[in-house]
Amino acid sequence: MNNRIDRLVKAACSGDIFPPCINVEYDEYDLKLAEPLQIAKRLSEYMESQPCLFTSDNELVGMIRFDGSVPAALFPRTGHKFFKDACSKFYNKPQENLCTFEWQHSNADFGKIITAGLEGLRREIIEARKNFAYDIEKLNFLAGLEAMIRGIIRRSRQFAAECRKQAFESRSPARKNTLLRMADNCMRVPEHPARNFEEAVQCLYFCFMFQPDSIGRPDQYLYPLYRQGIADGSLTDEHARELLQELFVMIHAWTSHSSGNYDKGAESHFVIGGYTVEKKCAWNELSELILDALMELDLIRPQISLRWNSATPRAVLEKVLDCERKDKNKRIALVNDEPRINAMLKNGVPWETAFDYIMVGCNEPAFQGGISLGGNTTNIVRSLVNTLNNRRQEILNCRNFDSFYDIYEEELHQDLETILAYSNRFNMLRSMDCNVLTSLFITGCIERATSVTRGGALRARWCANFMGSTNLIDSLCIIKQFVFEEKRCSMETLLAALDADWQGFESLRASILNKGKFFGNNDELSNGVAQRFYTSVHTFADGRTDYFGHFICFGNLTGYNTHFARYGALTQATPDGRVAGSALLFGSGQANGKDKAGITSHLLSVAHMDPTGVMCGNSIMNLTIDENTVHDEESFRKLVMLVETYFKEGGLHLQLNHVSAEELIAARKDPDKYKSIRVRVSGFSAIFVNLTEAIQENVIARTVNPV
Amino acid sequence: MNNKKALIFDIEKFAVHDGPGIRTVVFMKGCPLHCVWCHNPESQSFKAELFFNRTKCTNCGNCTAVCPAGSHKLFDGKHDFNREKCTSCGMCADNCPAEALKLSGVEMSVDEVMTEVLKDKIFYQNSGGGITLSGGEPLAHFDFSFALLTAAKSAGLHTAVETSGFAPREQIQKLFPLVDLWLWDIKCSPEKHKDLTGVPFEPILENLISVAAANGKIILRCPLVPGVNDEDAHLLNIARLANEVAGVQEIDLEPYHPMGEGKSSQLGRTESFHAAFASANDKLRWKNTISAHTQTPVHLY
Ligand code: SF4
Ligand code: SF4
Repeated sequence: MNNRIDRLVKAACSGDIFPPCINVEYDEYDLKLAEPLQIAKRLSEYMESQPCLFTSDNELVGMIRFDGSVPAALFPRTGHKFFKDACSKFYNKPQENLCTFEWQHSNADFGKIITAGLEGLRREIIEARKNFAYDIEKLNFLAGLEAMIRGIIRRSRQFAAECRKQAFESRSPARKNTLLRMADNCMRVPEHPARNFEEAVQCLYFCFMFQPDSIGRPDQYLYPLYRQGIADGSLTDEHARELLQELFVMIHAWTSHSSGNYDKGAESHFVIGGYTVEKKCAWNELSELILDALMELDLIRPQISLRWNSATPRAVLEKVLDCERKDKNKRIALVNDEPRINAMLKNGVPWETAFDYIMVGCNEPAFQGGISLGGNTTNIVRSLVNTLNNRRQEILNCRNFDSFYDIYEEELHQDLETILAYSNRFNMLRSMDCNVLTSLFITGCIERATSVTRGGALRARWCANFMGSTNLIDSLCIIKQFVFEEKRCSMETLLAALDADWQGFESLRASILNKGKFFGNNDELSNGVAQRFYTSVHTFADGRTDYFGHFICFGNLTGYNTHFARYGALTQATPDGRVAGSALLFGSGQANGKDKAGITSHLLSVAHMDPTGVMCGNSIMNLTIDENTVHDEESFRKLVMLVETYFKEGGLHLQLNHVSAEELIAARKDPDKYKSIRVRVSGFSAIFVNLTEAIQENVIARTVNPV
Repeated sequence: MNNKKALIFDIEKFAVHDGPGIRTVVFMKGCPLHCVWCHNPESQSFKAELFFNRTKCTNCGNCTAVCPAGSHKLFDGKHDFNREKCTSCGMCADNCPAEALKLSGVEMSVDEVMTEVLKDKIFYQNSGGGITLSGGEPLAHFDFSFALLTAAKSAGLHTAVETSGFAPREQIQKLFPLVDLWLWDIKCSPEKHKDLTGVPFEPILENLISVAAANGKIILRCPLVPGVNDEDAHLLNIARLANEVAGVQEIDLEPYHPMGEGKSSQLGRTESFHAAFASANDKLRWKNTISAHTQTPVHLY
């Protein structure tokens, strides 16, 4: 890493390098304009009024923050009034202890802007206009987009002028040259297609400001210009590395120091590897360069996932896991293309879209130039609690587990129905906003002349997240094993114990905890129950869509918020031995040492749990392994084969923690001493001692019985 | 179908230091040796044994109700356990809600063991791994081990046997075609062998030579206890064996850890061996001394 990047890293970590927002007075005249044109006009004025700031170490420019006076970038929801309103009512607030409202991700198609430029988009707008000759609403929207393009180009020229001005003033011949080159870049992109790697990265960074979420698959869309530059000698690996590093530092710096999420790393998570459209392994020299460039930076963002698939060579997996074990900032996770792409194809997503999916946020599958709706967290344990309480007479009459399960399934489907209804309502609330900035970068908005908020995106997906799915499966297992198969206790006794929150039934609880056949041990009973449950979820979801027509899938991450603890606090004791009010589990795996049969069993249970692929949404799998497994070379090589086998068997996601429970417990006692420990939480990583108590406990519970 | 049975006290998945690839290790209970440092005291006896962990006991009294031998009693609400009459039937452990009682040693048939082992077959296939027989002393369960290895071979698994090498020669010879790798313990110098392990070294050495003569692949496994068996003469002997016995591919050094000490008391045994953890210096000296006298790779665990 060179000195310039080093200085940039220090600057980005020691305080905000983004300029503060300058307040703008909008004139009254524009109130008469239609909404999209008014927004475009105001945004253009706003952008023009902001200073063109960059540090003397920057070679990429574009820094800007929006102040919320106008709907701007969609991912941070700046200025989206209806969304804000819905948030203030429902965000983080469990409705009926069943469902909350979450934000959404949406991702720009940066590759498209790099190859077509805004001029390409303008041509698309002119084409689209022909289809809506008499539709004033649509024409107004397209006019807004076109005005926005003009505003963005003006902004890039403003930066070009600033670069020229500084070049004129600069005493250093080298910096003068650089500044002139930067000015040329700004005159070229994003208006026109990028002609070389440097222009492409400048275009990417400049447009990142308009949708500061994932940068998608940079190892794919930057690859042609990278190859071209290397081949004709105009680009060296060192220069490419430097540009990428500057890009990553600036992406890191986008999250403000004053943000509550500053020390968490999920924003701007992107992917490397995966498939090409020809279904070949997409890993290339640039993937490796990106990974190496990122690992050299002592930063916590951006985070990165390897898209593994059956064409991925073991050496690539080993390389990524080697980086993972050495990365104290815990930026790396792994996902499996096979089950995910299969699920998409099954649900009608064409291969040409599916092969190019990305992972964003904590761990959410998405599309470049697409939107991910939902992400709402839900309490899946409630369906069982309802079964046990509201259907009591019926279940007391059940002679076998099958008849019990039939009743449970009715309750499950009813809750899933309610979850979908909530989610639809939330998404309709959010669709009242109009966005002309991010819509430019989302495929379909031009063609449909519709804001991304209102269903403009062609590539979209819907998902809700289950909190407590492992608690639920374990509880069903215990009912099957203890009540119906081994007859260790009657249904009456179990219900009485739950009603009493185990008071007076300590011995029953202890024997459940010690003798229970819990999920994660690769035994027939718990595997069967898990598969049955997820198949029931599929039965509900199969063939259904949300209001926008997106197919339905589910996941199990909790995001930055402690939803699993909030739902748990409102949920009574459950048959898996859980006491009332305690946190639910999130993710696909097991915790609290209930995975007694070892790591291979745990992984196989998870890999096989979902035969239908209905969980191919935001699902995560946290695995804690003994530190020695990554320190000892022989064990590490076997860990690589372990992970590979897990993926070959259908495992969807994996992220590793390798700290000991003792270390974490010590860190809780003496946080100052252990400030540097970062752990993977729910698809993202964060500093352990800064996490809330509920998450700390969850992380420790996962490490109770590591291999 | 194979119903041969043995007492199994553990089946360990994702074992990474017991042969190539990802492996499952099957631990058989009972061993003819009695190494003073044994860190698996439950592996020595050929009978099932009951672990009792007093700190976990909640004095619930479940065990008193089910024990046919009357070994468990409650005095003033406090649990008292008298091991003498215990027949290791396991009833109490099955009914102890707190896992204070645990039976070590479950009779399992070859088929049952194979069912468990084959659950991880995909991992073995993808990593070149397989099954490792350990103990106790697997050769002391010869019929079972023979049947298990036969089953493993016919399932296409790589097989390894971890052994002290103390067994009748004819039995070892019968296993030649079934064992891909021998993890052969070299416990201490021949002079101390009888004292520290209870058996002489000579038959072990002869067996080792016969394995080598049959082209067996061998890893020497050397438990080292500071101040007990880590003198230079022994280290040099290990190097010499590696040089002179064909087929030795690797030397694994296993520094002593005192885990067995807590377990002994839970088994109701008083005799307890104490030694210190090996220091980094000790380990370095062991490795360097051996490496100076042989080309065979030396691994330290
Ligand atoms: S193992 Fe059987 S005999 Fe021994 S204490 Fe337990 S119940 Fe009694
Ligand atoms: S059953 Fe277990 S917990 Fe209860 S008294 Fe006996 S040993 Fe103690």
